[in-house]
Amino acid sequence: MRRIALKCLVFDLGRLITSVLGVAIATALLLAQIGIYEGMKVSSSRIIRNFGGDVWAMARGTNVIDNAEAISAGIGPLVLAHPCVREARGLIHSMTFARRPDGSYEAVVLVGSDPQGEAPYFPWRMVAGLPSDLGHPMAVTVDRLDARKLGLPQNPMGANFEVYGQNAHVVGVTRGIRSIMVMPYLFTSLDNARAVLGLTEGQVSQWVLDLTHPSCVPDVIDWVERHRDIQAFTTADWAERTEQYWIKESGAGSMLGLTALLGLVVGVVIVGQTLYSLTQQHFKELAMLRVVGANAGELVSFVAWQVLVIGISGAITGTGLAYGVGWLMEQSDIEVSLSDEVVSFGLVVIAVMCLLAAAHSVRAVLRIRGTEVF
Amino acid sequence: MAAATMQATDARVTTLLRTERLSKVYGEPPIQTTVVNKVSVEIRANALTLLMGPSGSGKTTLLMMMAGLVDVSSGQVELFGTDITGPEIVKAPAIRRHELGFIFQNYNLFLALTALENVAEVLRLKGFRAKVAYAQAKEALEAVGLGHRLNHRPAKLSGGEQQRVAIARALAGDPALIIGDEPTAALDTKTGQTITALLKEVISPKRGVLLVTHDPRLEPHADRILRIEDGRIIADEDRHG
Repeated sequence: MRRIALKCLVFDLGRLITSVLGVAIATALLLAQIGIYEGMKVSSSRIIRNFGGDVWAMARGTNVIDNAEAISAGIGPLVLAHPCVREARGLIHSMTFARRPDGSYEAVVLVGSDPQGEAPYFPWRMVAGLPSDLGHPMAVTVDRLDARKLGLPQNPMGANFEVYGQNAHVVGVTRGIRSIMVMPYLFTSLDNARAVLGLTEGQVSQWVLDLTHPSCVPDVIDWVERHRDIQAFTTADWAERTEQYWIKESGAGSMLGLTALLGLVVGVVIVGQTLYSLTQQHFKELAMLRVVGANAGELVSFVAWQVLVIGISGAITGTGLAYGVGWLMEQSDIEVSLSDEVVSFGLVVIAVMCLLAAAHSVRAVLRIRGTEVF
Repeated sequence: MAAATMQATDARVTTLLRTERLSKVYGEPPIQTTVVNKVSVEIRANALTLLMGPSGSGKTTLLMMMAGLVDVSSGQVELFGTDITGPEIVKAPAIRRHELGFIFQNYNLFLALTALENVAEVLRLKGFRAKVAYAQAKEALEAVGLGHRLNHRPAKLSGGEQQRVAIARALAGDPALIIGDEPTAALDTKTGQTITALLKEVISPKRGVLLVTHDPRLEPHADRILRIEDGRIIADEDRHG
């Protein structure tokens, strides 16, 4: 039956191409949507995951890293007082404005931390300069993708521009560090960030605690939260909360999910219709096979072989298209994360889509009776 | 398998198929239509048997019941000695697969397959290995005079040639009974005569041919003619006395 099914499929090249394209477009659309969704998740919690640590402490009521307000200078010594806390690293994460050379303003995210000379390096993905260079007065990094947005040269190294009234100097360039809000990230030192934002000595927006042992985590969180203005989470929890905020509460997740679902529906309809018409075209011959003794399973295998070929060809083409789309988006502000998990999940969904599309044809084939041929 | 299941009535004549008071009724009382009415016949090997009757006489329904494609309302069908009526109809597909060959009015060839593939792939479905199936298909096509058209698709063949491919498909695998439903209806007189002559050639002491037709041009070639009208066999003419 395999040969009959495949020959019939190739014989009707137009319908074959339509079906393969249907699966390919659905695959590309689905993978791109999941990839953007994943990209959003990853970029929303990127700062948290890259800064690391065991416990994050911030002002009570903060629901996302991007909304963290400054906490008082006295909190630093308090968190350090717990015997399990090996080190407390301050982080300032705040939105502010940069002035372009043409005088217009651009919203930016200023991220201040003490330069780290050892892993985890922060900022990461530096293609020019060193984290330690950020210790210089008003030294900042700019991402290569954001140089044009800030009105800086394509290679912004050494350029000067204004950040909230302060003259900043570009001492480092990062590659592909994008924020979920599509605002340029400017990395600098804690002192520089305080200077720009008008914070006093010792003020930060969050404390990141490195513990002597992971088993201390509940104790430390409990200890920190005794202060009524402070809340604390593990790094994983805080990253997860930030991701959930952006995916669920911003509505972006539902929008992407809906688009992916639409892609799937379109895929099911296109593939289902073309597959059915391919099968319908051969009802008489399939009825003839029923007469000569073919059983239901053999007739179903006619559809199964066809959907297998259409599904595999379409999925390969679609995955290629998705990687192409991902590469194009890498050059823009939108991040597409096509990890192995994303692609595997997408392909499983496409396989289910193909099965759904084949259901109508399988049902029709199972209804074929030998009498139809007389 | 054919030899094992066939019933021998005497040394020369083998009964391939037998019906006993076979009836088919459609509808529910009080509105019922009896399409086939208490038909008792035997189809034997070594004979070209015609089942003739006007349209609506019940000949195709009778044929479908004989092949186990339709449930009977009453009576019995024995195919190669096996009862295929009632719940026993589940045995019919296996018997059709191994013992019957079918020819249809519209050939029912796969347009995507060549003549050789159309014959061979049905053989593969019957359980033959690819190599054997293709060898037997080639042989069957050569036997019907299409040895030079093996790799042609149906669209490149005339109606007569397509019906020959269908005959080769029916013959391949050496079934004991060839059943044809109006095999010459779509053909011109000359081609129809050629096809009938071909079907006449394939009968043997182990093989019979049963054709359902209303084409009187086939009568001269028949060994036996069963005439059906309003679901009843009204005449059983044995041309060899």
